[in-house]
Amino acid sequence: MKKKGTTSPLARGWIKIKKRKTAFVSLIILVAICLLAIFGNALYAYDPTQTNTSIRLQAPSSEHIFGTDNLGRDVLARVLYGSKLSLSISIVSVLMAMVMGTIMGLIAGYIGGKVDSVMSLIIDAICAFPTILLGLLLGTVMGSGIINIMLAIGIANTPYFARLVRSMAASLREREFVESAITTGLNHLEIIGKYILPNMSSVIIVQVSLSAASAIITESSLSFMGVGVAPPAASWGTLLRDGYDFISKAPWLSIFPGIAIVVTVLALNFLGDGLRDALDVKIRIDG
Amino acid sequence: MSENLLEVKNLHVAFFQDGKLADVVRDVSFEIKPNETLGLVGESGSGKSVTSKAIMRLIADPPGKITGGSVMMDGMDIFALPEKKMREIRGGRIAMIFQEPLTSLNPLFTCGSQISEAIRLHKKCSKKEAEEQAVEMLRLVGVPSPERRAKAYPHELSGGMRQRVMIAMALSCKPSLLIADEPTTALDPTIQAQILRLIHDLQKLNGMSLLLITHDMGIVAENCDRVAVMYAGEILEIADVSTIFHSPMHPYTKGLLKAIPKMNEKVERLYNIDGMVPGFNELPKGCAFSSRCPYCKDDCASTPQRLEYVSAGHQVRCKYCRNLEQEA
Repeated sequence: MKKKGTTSPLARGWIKIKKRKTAFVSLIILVAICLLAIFGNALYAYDPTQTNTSIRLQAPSSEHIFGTDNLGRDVLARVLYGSKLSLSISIVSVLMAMVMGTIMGLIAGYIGGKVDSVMSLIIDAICAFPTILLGLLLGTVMGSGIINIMLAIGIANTPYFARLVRSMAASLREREFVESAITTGLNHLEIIGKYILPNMSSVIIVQVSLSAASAIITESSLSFMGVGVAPPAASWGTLLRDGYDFISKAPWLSIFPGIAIVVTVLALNFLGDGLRDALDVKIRIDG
Repeated sequence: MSENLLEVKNLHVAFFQDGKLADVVRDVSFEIKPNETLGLVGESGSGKSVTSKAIMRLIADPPGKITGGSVMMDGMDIFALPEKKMREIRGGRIAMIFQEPLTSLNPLFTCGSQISEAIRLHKKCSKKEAEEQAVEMLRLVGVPSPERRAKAYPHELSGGMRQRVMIAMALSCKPSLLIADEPTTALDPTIQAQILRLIHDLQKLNGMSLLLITHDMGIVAENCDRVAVMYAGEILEIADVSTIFHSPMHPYTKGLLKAIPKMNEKVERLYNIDGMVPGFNELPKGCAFSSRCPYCKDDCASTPQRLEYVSAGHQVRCKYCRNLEQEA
């Protein structure tokens, strides 16, 4: 479909992202983090679960770059291991929030009227809970566990997507091209699929990257407080929690998972901002 | 009666405003014969677009509501059709083009794909055939190098080109009626003339009727067979185009024609009709134009006026219209 001289909106966005240094570097870092999460443990010499009490709490050295923990496990191996859970919880929960929020937002925004009022009320009600509190509540009620924590973070993030999609759907619905699409005989599902959703995709993409960042923080906080990922499984949050007991003796236990969290969250936020600049321009009306 | 392609009878459309229904279109009746062009003129807010949207059943409910009347297309009652049948009519039998070519195309898809989508909606054909037809349509509406333009995104085309794309899309399924809602308002005058010429040519080629909505009397004079003059939601006068221009009967039509600047006359100030169009919640019981009419009589504002024949094919909504000449 693509030809010289004509560029699709997504291709234009990609060109713009490449021009933005922070966003592009963030993207590269994120890809690297994901690759490390997937392949890191397989490539790294140390097993994240292998205990060895003879090398407890060793400071970072050439042998163990990030040092060792209270059971003699290699911290780098633990961080790599933790990244799997932290990232997958973040991704799955945000995708969940995206799907649920988009459906709710579309129903509210596209149908409008009383449906909109009721939907907005539900959305606002979920929003009224602080994310952490909602996570704590759901974590306590449903019990800690990876699926539950994904659900909790997903539900907590849903209203942000729902609000965004609702307002976009409500304004897109009034656009001339939607009206002219109706006059060519399209039905509502086709209108939503071809005219409403594609035209808000850039906004959703930006929200995904920002929500993914906040999901990582939420997961870490919940795990830190003990309602998140439970041992023996480990996420960056549980690593922080484990290291907390030795913070004065062996700060590297907390520092390295902390750095991993900060770098990932920062990269996601920078990428989100860059994407917003590159994509989240108002729908182009004229060339 | 069956010779009419479209028959609008006593159409009433109302909109909710501050919890009350305001009648925006009142008692509008007209008909369009095959191959005929009917001009619908009136100032902004006179209900022209609402009338055209009611024909396509596009009035959003709420806030709008069709409160009475009927629209017959080819003998089918538009308001009684199920939604599925209605979608076949939209784009298939009646097509519409809007005044905003700049924003009437989906910015995320190529022009060609949008046209071929419209084609595939109403005709059974393969994607490839539809794409070829889309290019053919673009050629027909005078888009240079149509193969290349079909692959272009709307933002890569000028306003005139985009309106041509819209026309190509509207005509791709050979509708028997085209509703053009101020198709050239957003375009500059030279392009305006080209687009109107194009619509006219295609109308002849396809044997299609046209409902041309405009507020430009010049466009009406050049393009229409008959004219309906709308004011504050009512039709005040309907006649063929030469009658409207040479012997208008309604004071409002006269005022409109007087307001056209003439090339060969120098005037200090252009003529305008005094006053403003009344809001839809402050309309008088009688003639809607009474508050601005220079010939207004005592009972004009209180007694409703009916659209009556003054001669064959010429209807006027003013019972004093025959006596105006002597008075003036």
